[in-house]
This record gives sequence, structure tokens and C-alpha cells, in this order.
Amino acid sequence: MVSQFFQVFTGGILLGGIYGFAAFGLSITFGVLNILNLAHGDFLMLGSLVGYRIFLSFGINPFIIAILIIPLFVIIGVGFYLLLLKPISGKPPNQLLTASVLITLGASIVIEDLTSFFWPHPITGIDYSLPSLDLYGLVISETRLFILLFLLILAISIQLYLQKTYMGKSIRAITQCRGGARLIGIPISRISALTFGLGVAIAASAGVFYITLFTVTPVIGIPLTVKYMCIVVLGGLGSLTGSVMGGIILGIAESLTAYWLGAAWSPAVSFMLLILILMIKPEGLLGRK
Amino acid sequence: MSWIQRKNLYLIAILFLCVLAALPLLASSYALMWVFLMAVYLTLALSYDIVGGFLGYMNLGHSTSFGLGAYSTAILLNHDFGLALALFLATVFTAAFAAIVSYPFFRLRGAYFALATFGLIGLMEVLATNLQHVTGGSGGISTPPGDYMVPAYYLSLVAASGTVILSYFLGRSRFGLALLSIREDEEVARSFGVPTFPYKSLSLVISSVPASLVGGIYVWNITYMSPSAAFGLEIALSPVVMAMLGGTGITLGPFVGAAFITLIQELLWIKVAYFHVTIYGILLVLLGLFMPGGLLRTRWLWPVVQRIGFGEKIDYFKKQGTLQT
Amino acid sequence: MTYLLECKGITKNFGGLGALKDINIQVTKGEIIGIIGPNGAGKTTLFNIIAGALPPSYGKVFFKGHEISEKPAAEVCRLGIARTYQIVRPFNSLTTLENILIGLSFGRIKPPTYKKRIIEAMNILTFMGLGTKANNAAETLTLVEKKYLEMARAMATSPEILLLDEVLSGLGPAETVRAMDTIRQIQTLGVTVIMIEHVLRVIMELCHRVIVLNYGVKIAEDRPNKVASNPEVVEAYIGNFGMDEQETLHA
Repeated sequence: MVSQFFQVFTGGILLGGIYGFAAFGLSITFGVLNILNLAHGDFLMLGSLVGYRIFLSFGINPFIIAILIIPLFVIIGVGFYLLLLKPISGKPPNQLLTASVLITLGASIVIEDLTSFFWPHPITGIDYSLPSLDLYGLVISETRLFILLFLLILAISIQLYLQKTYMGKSIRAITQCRGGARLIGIPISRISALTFGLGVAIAASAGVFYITLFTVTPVIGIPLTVKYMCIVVLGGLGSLTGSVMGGIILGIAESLTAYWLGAAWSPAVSFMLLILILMIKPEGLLGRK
Repeated sequence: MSWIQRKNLYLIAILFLCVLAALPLLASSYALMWVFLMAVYLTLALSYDIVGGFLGYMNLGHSTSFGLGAYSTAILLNHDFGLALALFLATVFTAAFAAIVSYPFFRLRGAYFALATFGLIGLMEVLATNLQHVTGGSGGISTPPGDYMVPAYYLSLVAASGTVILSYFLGRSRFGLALLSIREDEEVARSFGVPTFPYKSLSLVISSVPASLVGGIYVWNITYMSPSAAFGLEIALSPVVMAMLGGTGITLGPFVGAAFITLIQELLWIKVAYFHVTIYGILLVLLGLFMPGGLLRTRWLWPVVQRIGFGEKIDYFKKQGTLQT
Repeated sequence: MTYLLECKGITKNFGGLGALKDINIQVTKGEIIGIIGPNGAGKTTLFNIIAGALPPSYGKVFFKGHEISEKPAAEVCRLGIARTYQIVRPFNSLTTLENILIGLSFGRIKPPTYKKRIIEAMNILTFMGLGTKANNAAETLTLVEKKYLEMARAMATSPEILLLDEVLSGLGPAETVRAMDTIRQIQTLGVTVIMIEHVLRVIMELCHRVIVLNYGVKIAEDRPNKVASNPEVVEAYIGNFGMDEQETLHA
């Protein structure tokens, strides 16, 4: 009984890690661009599908795929930004909101519809498991452990990137004070494009792992984006630790709910958490007001 | 001059309504259904606009009120409640839900609010699918059969007209002015005494009423409702797109939006067999890129709209005559 | 004696930053008071606290003898303290008239009836010189007109105290004179004015008293000419005023 609970728990942490990771991509996008990308979840889905294709065709280790996929999606993301988002980036806040919602929602619809056309069948999880680890009677799948480790390393690298590199610091600067950043010469437009690319690539990378746990269909995009948004609100905007923490909390909550109440109720969990955090601490666990 | 134009507009509107009223005698049931659905969508678009347009909070989850109203009405109808009572109780329930939900949700702003309300629909769909003994699950719920097309048709016209009038007078009221001020600058509005939180909540509740009513009328007529019909993407997004296409915050907006969408449907979709959804998505993208304010706000059209009194300005002067300044 | 407005020991900290330290101010009815000081001295923060937009970390604010320190901005406004914003914030898509109507309809404890509302709003607009712009959207106004709109909107709430935050910045000489006249007229209507300003001439000519803030501390409070020759004030300001203003200081 305990081991089952533990299984569920660790599954939740893993799930949460993946969520938090992808959510962080959304968080930096919003912090820098002030645009909430409704199509974010779709990029995770695309990452899953592309990762799956590559795995099937070339048999490359998924961990390597997850890394390779990043530059690919950075390019896709930058293109997406330049084509669709840059034109509206100068607009005043209320117009920006309407425009960005319309554009990203429309994009999401288009992506999902076209993907449904080319991939009519749901993709079940990739099976690249390693033998399980037996730790004092508790069984942990080694794959899961590795994935978690991998995500951790990736997260730390990203955190270092944000702290140390010019790009990373620019992102933080723009998130905290846009006007000031512009004044000191940070090329907001270029950084925005790269940030969007990075955010989207992070989601796609997370997608490669997502497919090891879940079935991927073209329409999971929007519900996922909603979940990420809940995580971002939960953890606080712009904080990697916050997103990860929020993600893990959500992951555990979802796993436990699925275990006790049945999988059909999981989508409700993110919502309940969102409402809860909104009523108690609206700026998120680690957010600033 | 605007006064004369306004009078003409009223005449046209009344004439139009008379034609619609006579339709059951003249036209096929296909045409009736078409107008019925259009009335439903227009009601949804107009009621969406109260929060989305006047208040400036993009309530993408507006169809939650529709679905709740539909399901509640269906359940009550199945327990032998009369239509009037069923609609009434269902609407009270939906309004209460809107009031409660407004507490956490209005702590979000902008895109967060939009996405959270959008997610609410997904939650509702899950609930509708899972609470099987209440809602009939994914198979849906059926209400007492019968041919209610004609009375439902009239009811839908009443609902739509009522919502037009509601929207019109809201734009002229103190409450509506407050909503607009919240949209423009919520913090400043609050500092000038506008009770932002109660008003936001109230606007959500008000917008839920017409949506809930048409939900109930819809299910009474079609005698069937399923989670995807009540909470699916189609019913969620179409009214919003109509309102945005025409121009949010303008009473005339949804009509223009509806007309435009219908036009596209007739012209484009008949010719192109596939990728309807993709074209829809592309339409949204183009709208966002080039005309986020809506068709009615394009530069040459906007002054005309304002002059015939459908703009956002509150037209007190017509009543007061010219003021001595 | 009960002052119209009294600040006792107002202190405001933002995290580790002490924005205001132990500020004491007394205001009697009918005065025009100037608040000056270098940028970052805490002037707008003080306004925010008085108006109820921010709570003080320590200290209390009294209005007509009653404490209002913790009251929300909406209530403070209704009680009779109105404010303008340093960077104008009109309701952009609304017309000038509608902007006033907001202040009129919500900023008072007893708003006027429907019929009287327009007339009063128009009166205020005319008083501010915006009568012809009643039906124009606020965003179409020039900066100067927007500043008058800010003042008009605040006046629409029928205040006893008007907080003007750098209302005269960016105005040319002729516009400055006109604005000063308007403020004088506001004072004759019985409104007490507290104004943050950088334009020394205005301070000298309009204000009965001047309070000087520097790094969150009140370093001087006196009649304008006395303040201008106060060495501490001059030192705080060196570099912030242009050359000719410096000469006026010594005059």
C-alpha cells in the first residue's frame, strides 16, 4: 500500500517536473513579451510528435532528442514570433491583449487542425524503459529517475544561463522593468524573439518526455496551456523555482486525484488549485506583487 | 441629423422584427432553425460583450453560463417542471454560480483572466461527463420530446431583442459608464470611487442571465444536450469571435460580426471542402493582426457608428437639447 | 485645534528602502501648500499615502480629525480628498464629459441626480476651459488639455483637498500663467490645494507655505521666500534646477 502510494507520489513529481519545466517556458515568454501564448501547449504537443518521429526513424536516445529539439524549436519559435507577434508588439495594453489572444488562439486552432490531419491517430507513449530500481522495497522506474535528473540538470543550466549570460540577464531585466531595459540599450525586439523561441523550445523539450508518460493527441494543447497558466499563477510569474514548485505540486495533486478518484477527474485539479491560490495568495507562492 | 438617422434605424429594426415574426408562416423549418440558431448566437455574443466589451475582461468562458443553463433546464424539465419555472430556476442557479466564481477569477487580469475562464469550460465539460447520474454523462441528456420549434423560435427572438435592449441601455447607464472606466484604467477608476469589485461581479452575473436563458430555450427546443454541445469549442468561441469581429463594446458589433461570418461561411466553405477549422483559425489570426478593434472601429467607419449613437459615447445631449456653455 | 489634514509621523518603507521618514504635516483650510524636493524625495509616495492608495508603514493620517490612514482610495476620495496623477491617466476612449461624469457620479458621497449631472459636469468642463471638447475622446486631447482634464476630473468629486502632482510640468510660460490662475480660482472656491511642483516661480507666487522633502525627510517648512534662501534646500537642489532658476534662488 505504501509502495503504491510512493509510486503515485513519485509519478506525480515526475509529471510535475515536466509540467513545471514547460510552464517556465510560458512564464519567461509572458514576462518578456507581455503576451500569454495560448498556443504554448501546442508546442509541447509538437515536440512530442517530432520526438516520437525521430525516435522511430533513427532510434536516437530520447534524452539526446530532447536536447537536439531545442535549437530546432528556437528557430520555429523565432519565426512564429517575427511573423505573428512582432507586428502587434507595439500596441497599448488593451489592444495587445485582444490581439494576442486572437492570434495565439487562432494559431493554436490552425496547428491543432493541421496536425489532426497529418496524424489522425493518437500516439501512445514511447517505450524506452530501463530496468527498475529496487530501493528498500520501493520500486522506482529508473527511466523516471533519469528523466527527473535530466530535467533537473536542464533546469539548473537554464537558471545559470539566466543569471550569467547577457541574454539571460536581458530577459530578467526586461521582465522586471521594460522601460529601463530599453533605456540602457537592450534590444527588446531581438531579445523578445529569442525568448519566445527559447520558451517554445523548452515546452517542446518537455514534450519529448511527456510522451513517455501519456498519450498525445493533437488537441491536448489548450488544456495543457491552461494547466501551465495555473502553474505560473501558482508559482509566481518569472520564477523558475516557482514554476517548478508549482508544477510539482500540481503533478502530485493530479496523480493523487487520479489514484483516488479516477483519471477522469484530473483536469479539475489544476483548476481547483488555481482557485485556491487566487483566494489565498494571488501573487503566487514565490511571486512578487 | 443623428436624431433623424436614429429614428430611421428604429423603423428598420421594427420592420425587420415584423418580418421575422411572420417567418413561421412563410418559410421552411430549415429557415426557422437557422434564424433560431442565429438568435441564440447573437444573444451569447451580446451578453459576452457586457464583460468582454464594456468591462474589458475577456471572458472566454462565457459559454459556461450557456451550458449550465441548458443542463439545469434539462434536468428540471425532466422532473416535470414547466418551462417558465425551469428557465427561471436554471438562470438563478447560473447567476449564483457566476457570482461565486467571480470572486477568485476577478483577481486575474488580462490574458490570465482570458485563459482561466477558458479553462473553466474544460472543467465544466469534465464535470458534465463525470457526474453521470445527474447529467447523463458523455451520452448527453434528453428532455421531453415534442415539436417546440415555433414557440422556441419566438422565445429566442425575444431573448435576443431583450439582450440588445439590455446592452443598449447599459451603454447609457451610470453602471455602464463605470464598467467602461474600469476597462480604461481600473486603478484610477477605483481611486475615483467606482466600486470596482462589486461592479465586476455584477457585470458577470448580468451577462450570465441571457446566456443561461438561451441555453434553456435551446435544450427545450432540440430536446437534447451533450457535454460537447454545451461546453465545446464551437459554442464557446463563435459568439466571442462575432463580438470581436464586429467590435467589442458596441451594441451593433455582434450583428456585424455575425453577418461577416455568415458571409464567409456561405462563400468560402461551400467552395473549400476541407480545413474549415484551419480557415477559422487563420481568420482569427488575421483579425488579431489587422483589426483587433473590430470592423466597426476601422477609421472611416467609426465616426459614422458614433453619430448614429451606437458608439461608446453616452448620448445625453439628445435628451437635454443643446446646453448653454 | 483640528487641522483639515494632519500627517503624524508618516513613515513608509518599501522593503529595505525608507521612502518616507517620520513626516509631520498640518494643513489648514484654504491654504495653498507646495511640496518640493529632488526627484525620489518621496513626494508622490506621500500623496499616495494621503489619498489612500498606499498604507503608511508607520504613522497616521487625519482628515478633519478622523483617522483615514488605512482607508481605501475610493473612500478617501468620497470623503473629500482628490488627486491628479503625475503622468496623466485619463480614461482614454471615454469622452471628456464621460471622464468628468465618473468623478461626479462615484466620487461623492451624494452624487447629483441624473438631470443635474450633465449640467454640473459641463460647468466643471467650462471652468477648466474644456467646454468645447466635451464630446471628444480623452485620448485626442493635447497634453495641456489632458492636464486640465485631470484637474477637472478631480474637481468633479467635490473635494475639500486637491492633491496636484506636478500638474504644471511640461507647460510653456503662457500656459503656466493660465494654470496658476485656474489654481487660484480653485482656491477661491474653498478648496485647499497641496501641490507637488518643480517650477520654482509657481511655488513662489502661489503657495502660502512650502514643505521641502529630501530623501524622505522634511528638511524645511516655511514661507516660500524663506525656503528659497535656506542653504540646506539650495544644497539639496543643486543640479536639479537650471542656471536661471538658481539665480532666482539667490534673489
